[in-house]
Amino acid sequence: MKSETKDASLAIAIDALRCGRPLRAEESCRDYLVMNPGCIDHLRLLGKALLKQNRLPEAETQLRFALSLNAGIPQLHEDLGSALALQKKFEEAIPFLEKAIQLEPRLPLAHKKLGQALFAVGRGAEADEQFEEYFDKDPESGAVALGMDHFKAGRKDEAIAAFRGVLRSNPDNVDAMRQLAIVYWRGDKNLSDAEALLRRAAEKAADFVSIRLVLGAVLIDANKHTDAIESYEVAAKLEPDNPAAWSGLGNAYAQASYPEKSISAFAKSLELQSDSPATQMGYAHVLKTVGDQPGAVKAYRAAIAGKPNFGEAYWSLANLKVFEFEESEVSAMEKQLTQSGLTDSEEVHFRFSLGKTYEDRKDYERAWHYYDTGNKKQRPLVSHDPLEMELRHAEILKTFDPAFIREHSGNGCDAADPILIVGLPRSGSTLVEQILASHSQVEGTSELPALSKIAASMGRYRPDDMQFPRAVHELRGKDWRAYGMQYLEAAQRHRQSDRPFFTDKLPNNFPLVGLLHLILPNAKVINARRHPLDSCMGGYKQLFARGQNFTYDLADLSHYYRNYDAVMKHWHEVLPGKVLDVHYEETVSDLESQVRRILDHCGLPFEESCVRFHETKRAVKTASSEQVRQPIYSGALGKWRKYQGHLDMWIEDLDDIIADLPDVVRNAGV
Amino acid sequence: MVTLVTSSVVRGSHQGESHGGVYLLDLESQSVRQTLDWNTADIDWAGRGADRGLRGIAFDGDVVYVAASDELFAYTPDFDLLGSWRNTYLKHCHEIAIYERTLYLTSTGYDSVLGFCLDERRFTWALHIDVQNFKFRRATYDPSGDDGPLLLNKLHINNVFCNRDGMYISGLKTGGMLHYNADTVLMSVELPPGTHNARPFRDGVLFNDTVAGRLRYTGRGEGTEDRAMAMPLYNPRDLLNTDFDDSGTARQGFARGLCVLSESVVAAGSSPSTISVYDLAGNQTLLSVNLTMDIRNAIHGLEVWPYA
Repeated sequence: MKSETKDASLAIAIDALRCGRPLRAEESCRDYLVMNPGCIDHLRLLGKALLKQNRLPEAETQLRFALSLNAGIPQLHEDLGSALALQKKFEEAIPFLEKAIQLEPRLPLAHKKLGQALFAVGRGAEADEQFEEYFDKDPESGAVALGMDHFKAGRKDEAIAAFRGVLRSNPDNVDAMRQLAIVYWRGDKNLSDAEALLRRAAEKAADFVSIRLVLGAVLIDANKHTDAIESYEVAAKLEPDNPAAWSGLGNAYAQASYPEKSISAFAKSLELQSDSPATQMGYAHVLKTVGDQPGAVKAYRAAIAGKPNFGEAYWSLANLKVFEFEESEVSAMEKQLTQSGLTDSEEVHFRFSLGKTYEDRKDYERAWHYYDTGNKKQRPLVSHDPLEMELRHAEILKTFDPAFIREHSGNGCDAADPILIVGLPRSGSTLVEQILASHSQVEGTSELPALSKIAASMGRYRPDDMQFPRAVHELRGKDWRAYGMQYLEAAQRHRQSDRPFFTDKLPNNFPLVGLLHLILPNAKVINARRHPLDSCMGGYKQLFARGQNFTYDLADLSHYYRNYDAVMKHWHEVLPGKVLDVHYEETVSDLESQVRRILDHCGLPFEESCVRFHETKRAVKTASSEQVRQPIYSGALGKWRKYQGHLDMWIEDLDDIIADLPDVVRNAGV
Repeated sequence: MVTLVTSSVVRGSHQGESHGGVYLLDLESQSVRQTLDWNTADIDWAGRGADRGLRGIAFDGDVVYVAASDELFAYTPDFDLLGSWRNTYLKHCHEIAIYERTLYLTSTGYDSVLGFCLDERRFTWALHIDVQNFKFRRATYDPSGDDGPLLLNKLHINNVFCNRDGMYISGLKTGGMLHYNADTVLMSVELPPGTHNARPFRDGVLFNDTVAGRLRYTGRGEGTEDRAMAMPLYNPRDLLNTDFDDSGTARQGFARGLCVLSESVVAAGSSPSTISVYDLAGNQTLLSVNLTMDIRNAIHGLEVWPYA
């Protein structure tokens, strides 16, 4: 225990409270109170610190004790009133708040709190009087509080107006900046204004931890992962005992693909507060990424223990693909589905989890029931316009015709580093990636958004709203090369070795093969294919963390598959030899031959390690992460046949594509 | 021969110390004369740059206008003070420019360009720019009113340039050089993040790529005329005050300050305060003059001195 003087100890506690670090304030007060148990100032600050941490009964106890020692301090009455009101003991709170005002009528917040308590017990007229008093005493704080009330009540525009009003009269009001940023972030998804406000607030109040925490979260949402790391690092440095700072840092590191650092940060957070389901979940995800399956399972289960309706945690266990639920867990999931109050999203997670459970138990009818009802529940929650998708694909094919490709060839960047793996999700792309990443000359990265970002960037800032692909007609020769360099620069941020080649495994890049060829003519492309019905069924059984919105409806799926097939046929036609089709079924039946084909296409010498791909240690984020850590297996071939009775529409829709498949693919699983 | 005038900022300087100045540089003799030492104490010293130093420079007849962070000063060519003006919305001014009878000032804090009427000697106009989802929005407002924008510093608008085609505006976070035609604000050309001093030049754009430490010219053609001129770098052992700032902001080769001498010859500033003259046609550096080896000392404004 440190032996601070009273003033020094108080200064530490006050400073910590001012900066939003109540744990630190509590620690300082408790240290002092050990030797000086009756110090009213410390008891009051301890009560405040506990209030800030929402530890309301503890706060109430401390404040009652302090009042028993000295009943003449108005702030103690106010704080006890707060502790009671926050526990919804409004009737009990009112006399303490009235006493506080009687002892010190200028206490501005006491009027507000009394007003709220009176309003809660139905004494509206008296409440209004207190609110007016409050706003008279401290109009700026009053306006901030009013804005917060508006936002809580769903009146977003009024909240924004209130906070902006404060900032007009006092541009340095940190509370108003922070609150307005929260409204912009949560209410408007206006990340850029939220970020700007929080950066200014952080500049003005450099040690205000909660600003750093909100800023970190906003930056993660804005995909500014490095900046988010920086923000959380500052928070963790300011308050090393704050679990939220460490879990935020863990999350930011995970997003930025630093799994080991992420694990350390999450572990630190859990050391400080083990009962946080969200932190356990984040920790589990990153343990799964690095292949620590037992650790991941333990953490997912800890998340469920803390939050029994945490459907996402159940789905994450199911999504390990090699995990089997215990009977008690299955019962718990089924029971959850009978509970009222489950959100649509939670229900979807439970349905997909149960689908996977019954499939593993070979009860395919029940599995289908849960998958199908899960998809039907999920479809309205996501946005997918099949017609818009079809038109976009058609426009790409029309743009990248042989004449256009001929005209613009030769302008791109010469680098041969990238190997793109495209296709549909759940079609063996992670397996191809793992095979390549097991080669000594290839670094496996992840699903890089770089190419799609380049395509999207062509339409930004344009007053005529012209987008990719039409916008490519305006590119000059030097622009193609510049885009190639831009892609390499973006990919570089995800690389950790100096191997000469790297993989980019984003399945959705398949419509962008033409663009890729013109900006990086020496890049290689592999199309990971699978029997269309297995491919579609794989998508239908998967609940994606984000994107792939075409997979939640049977008709959407077959329509999307037809589009994908047409696009890939186009690339084969206009860029012969550019794309190598790798059928999952052929890889399973003759691994070494397919490995040699893949390496040949990439201009790489054969290496035995690629056949023993499952021995390669690397971070894998996708749904197949556990599957590629085991030797090749044939259990997934022709899995669609288990659900054949439900797939008439697909069989009819995709008939001609299936007929064209090699025998080994078409007959897989027979 | 040409004389240049430049202003400087001394990052991390302390209250009571000089935090900037104005210098005249005779290109023929390569001699430098400091004409103004800026040591006013009445500024916000928080942070490394903050309100320190002197920034944009512009001329109206026999009046030299020099901008500080939140104040506009007018001097005679001998640097006798004629007057100064402040405005609520002038916060962290960087470059300034005169077109017809208005002096335009950038205001990074308020994402604005303010107009100062040279005849009435008061702020009469203000333009605020915002961007959402890659679309720019503009709003004019009364700089003497109270319904202007919030102090957000979202785009960090640090440069303004005017010609008969309109106003060109750029900043660290604008994404490029914007064009304002009194009606709309549109992206004129995308530029690297961290750009300073972007302006139209020949059929393209001339700018300081500050992050890369390069003065760049990019034309509309296929690139044969494009240039990337490196800022001079010194032996690190010769630099002074290198340990004052671990953020990396004060580094050598920080490219800022730019003026055009002819269709081919341009001058650019860098840190520690150095002026270099480049021949773009010949793709060569003609000369470099170093004002100080203090790494904190960075060039800000740079113009051709019209009174030589």
